[in-house]
Amino acid sequence: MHRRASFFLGEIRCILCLPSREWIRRARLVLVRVLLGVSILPFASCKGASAEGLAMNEASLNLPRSVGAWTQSGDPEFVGPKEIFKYMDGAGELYLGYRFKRLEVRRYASADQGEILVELYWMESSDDAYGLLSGDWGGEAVELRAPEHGSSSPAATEGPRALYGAGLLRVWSDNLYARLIAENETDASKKAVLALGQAIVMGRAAPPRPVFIRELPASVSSQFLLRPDRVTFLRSHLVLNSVYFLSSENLLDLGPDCEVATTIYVQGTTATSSNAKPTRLLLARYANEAAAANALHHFREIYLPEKMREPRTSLTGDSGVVAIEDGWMGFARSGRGLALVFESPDEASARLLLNEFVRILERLEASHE
Amino acid sequence: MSDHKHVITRRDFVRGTAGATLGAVAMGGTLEALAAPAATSQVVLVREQWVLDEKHEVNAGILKIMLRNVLTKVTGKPDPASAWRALVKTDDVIGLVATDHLNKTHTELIELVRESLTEAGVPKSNIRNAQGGPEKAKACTALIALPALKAHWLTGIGTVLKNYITFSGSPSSYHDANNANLGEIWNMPHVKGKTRLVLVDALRPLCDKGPQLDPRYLWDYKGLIAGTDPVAVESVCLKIIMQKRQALRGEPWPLSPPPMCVEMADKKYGLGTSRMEQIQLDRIGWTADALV
Repeated sequence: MHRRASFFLGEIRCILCLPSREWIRRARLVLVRVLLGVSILPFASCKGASAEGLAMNEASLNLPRSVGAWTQSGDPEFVGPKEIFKYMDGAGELYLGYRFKRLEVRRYASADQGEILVELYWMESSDDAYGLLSGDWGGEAVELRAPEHGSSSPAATEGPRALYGAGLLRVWSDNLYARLIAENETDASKKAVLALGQAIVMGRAAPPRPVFIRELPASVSSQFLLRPDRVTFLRSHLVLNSVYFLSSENLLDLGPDCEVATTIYVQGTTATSSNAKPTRLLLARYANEAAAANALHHFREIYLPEKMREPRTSLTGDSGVVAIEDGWMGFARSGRGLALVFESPDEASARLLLNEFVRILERLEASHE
Repeated sequence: MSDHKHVITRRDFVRGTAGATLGAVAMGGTLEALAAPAATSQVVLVREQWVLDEKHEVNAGILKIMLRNVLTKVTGKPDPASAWRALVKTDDVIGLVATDHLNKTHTELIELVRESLTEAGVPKSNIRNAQGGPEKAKACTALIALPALKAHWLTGIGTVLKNYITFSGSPSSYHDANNANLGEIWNMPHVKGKTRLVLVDALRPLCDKGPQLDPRYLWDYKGLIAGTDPVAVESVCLKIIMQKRQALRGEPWPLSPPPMCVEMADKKYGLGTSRMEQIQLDRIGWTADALV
């Protein structure tokens, strides 16, 4: 009881820091739980990392004991940042690159249909969890929550929040990224996995996509079309390199306090036309203006060394466009934001895209988003 | 720039100078010195359509025939027993180094190799699992690399060269940019010269890099790929993975980060050839969708 009481106090402290609309929504939720006496720590026993001190949006899951032919087996396992390498050899860097807080593992066993593994990755923010989903937009988009009356499916306007394929369901739900995988994919296991997915998202907030992602225009001057299936949000250079290899070194000084959107734009009439020449965009925002300026300096020195040595080079300012081996690349800094364009087909296109993305940076800075 | 540590960038890859550049800098040599041609290496690709059923279960009988074909083709010997005796001594302590994480080597293949070695006269007690720390390799006089074919998110490809990463004693020091140095593990004193055969489990490869298993990227290739040149075998594996990725998306889908370790294993560490024109690929069996 003491633990539950202090948990609620923690929740209240947490929601006081939120914007007003969200504050009201979460406060209501807490109040309802208090009044109903709903247990919010249904699986308190744990191994590894502690379940103590959970934030409000990390402990509201009440997954069923059984789903179809599968029944939860054993206690949940908790894995903290220090133990993640032991849990998943080599993969720890990915999650740490997205401000990973804790992993919760649950297993559902069946008599003869294999296991369903449920991995719940609790992240620092919704943007981090979105980033993990954005690493791969492949698979079948699934809607895990019923659309509100009269509204269209959120996936139609914002892109999917859950993707299913070959037995694996990946879910972005507020600050939670979930992976559910059936050992043997069957119609029954798919139903069970989707039912568990629905239980995971039930009652949880569905914040919008990261602001950088929302701001990406679907087209630029009707010439360049966004490839939504190539949009990735990230913070670490390791993740950037897994999407678009830039360098063996962290040229852009990326880290946990950075926000980065990267995608491709294609010239043509349809964004998915495979013949279209893609241009790579990278938008980054740093903790402050000095960090952005340092990152740009670092990038130019390593990526464009010979161009920087040229007499009367025009690349020493906050913006520039230059032809390199794979097309035209451009950079522009605005305040604490940095826009980079790679593999643009010509100089005019590089400038056009840069100007558009600088406007985005300026707009975001002005709106304090 | 000469006083800076050398940093590989995308531009090096576009220019086609990444491996040569890094190798030249590391060795203090010239690019011309790196251009010396290597001898041709043989890689054997054996595939059988019915080795996996529709549930991806292994038919051990067919796999045994595939293993026989691999061994005899690699060595030129008439049967598996004499083939093994051409590769190892019967008093060798033989370490089988299989993939134990993310698309593991099929246990059926490991067991068949073990059984086949025993039939060749190697005592059972001299055949051991050697996947693990450096002490595992130190305890063996011969190694059989048995990796499964897969991509990897930190090294591009995670098959042959990465298979020995735990022999280094510090696996994480080969992640990220340092994946280029994976080849140096094969030259460590407790590893160098011990590898008698590289036998890749390509029955059901994984063509995306993870870091965790996504079953959408597994496919039934139904193959074994083998040779005594680890870099040549890895190069064939890499080509298969890249071709599969392009086929899946219908557009170029390069591995990122680029698998620097393959070219570096050739040009910096001298473990074999990464140049497809210097690889003699011998094929046996099923040819559909071979991708190479």
